[in-house]
Amino acid sequence: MRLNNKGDTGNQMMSLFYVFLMLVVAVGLSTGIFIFFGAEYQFKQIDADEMYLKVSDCVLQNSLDEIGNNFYSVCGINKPVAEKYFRVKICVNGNSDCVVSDSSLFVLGSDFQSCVLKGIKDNSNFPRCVNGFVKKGSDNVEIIAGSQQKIRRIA
Amino acid sequence: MINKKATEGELIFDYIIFITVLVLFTAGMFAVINNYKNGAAVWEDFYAKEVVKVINNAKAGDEIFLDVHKATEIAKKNEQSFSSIFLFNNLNNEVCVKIGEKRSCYSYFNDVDIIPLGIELAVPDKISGKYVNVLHFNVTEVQKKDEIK
Repeated sequence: MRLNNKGDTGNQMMSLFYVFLMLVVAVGLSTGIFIFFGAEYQFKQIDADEMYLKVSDCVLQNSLDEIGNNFYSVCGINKPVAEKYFRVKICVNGNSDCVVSDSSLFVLGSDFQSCVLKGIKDNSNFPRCVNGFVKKGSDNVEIIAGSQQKIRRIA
Repeated sequence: MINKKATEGELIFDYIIFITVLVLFTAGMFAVINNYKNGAAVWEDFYAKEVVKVINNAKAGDEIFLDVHKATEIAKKNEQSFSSIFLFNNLNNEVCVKIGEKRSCYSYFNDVDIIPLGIELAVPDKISGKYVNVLHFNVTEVQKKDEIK
């Protein structure tokens, strides 16, 4: 009886070791694959740059009133996509910082504070933004454009 | 004699469990590796975003030819049909790329429609002089909101 007990304990210990070995291999392999292939092709900054260019072109070619009243059709931007993945803010002759300003010509999205945080550069979960000025006649127009779009993998 | 039989039975039972677990483990690992075979997921990601970049910068009336030779090579290895590699969804302003098991999608904000004209094979590249496969599509004003494959 005693001998049998000892034998069982040994077998059980070997089973645990077997499971442990498989776990080590699985974790090692998965980590290797995700490190090598897991990183997304970083595109948010390019997305934000393109949106900024599109909006600044629109500001230069159209009147500010038209943009304020009908931003999407005047600028040729798809509303559902913009609302889902982008943030845009246009401020005209703003006395205060456009990021925190309540008075703006057009706002899409919220939380523009995260656009200017310097600590988030290495964190891919935060949006990427572009901030710049356009001179239109006597008006000084500030534009902030940001993107938070990620690739969608569908089965 | 009785003891020996019992031991053999236990041994066979142990082996069956061990082999079953091993097969399940190997199958799981194979599935994980297979998903990333040829770096298909990475190239899908790349092509979806590059096509979106081109569309965002395009204007209605533009005709686009894009070198997608690498995508067609990987799709061929993964036994994917060329006609299903690039899917333009004008309803959601979305480009989807499928060269592996799954499909990768990305949206363009430019309010235009895409008329896909398919993948043209063995087109001479003026810069490298090689023959490459190119994606051909037209950019038009928004016409009707439906899915065009």
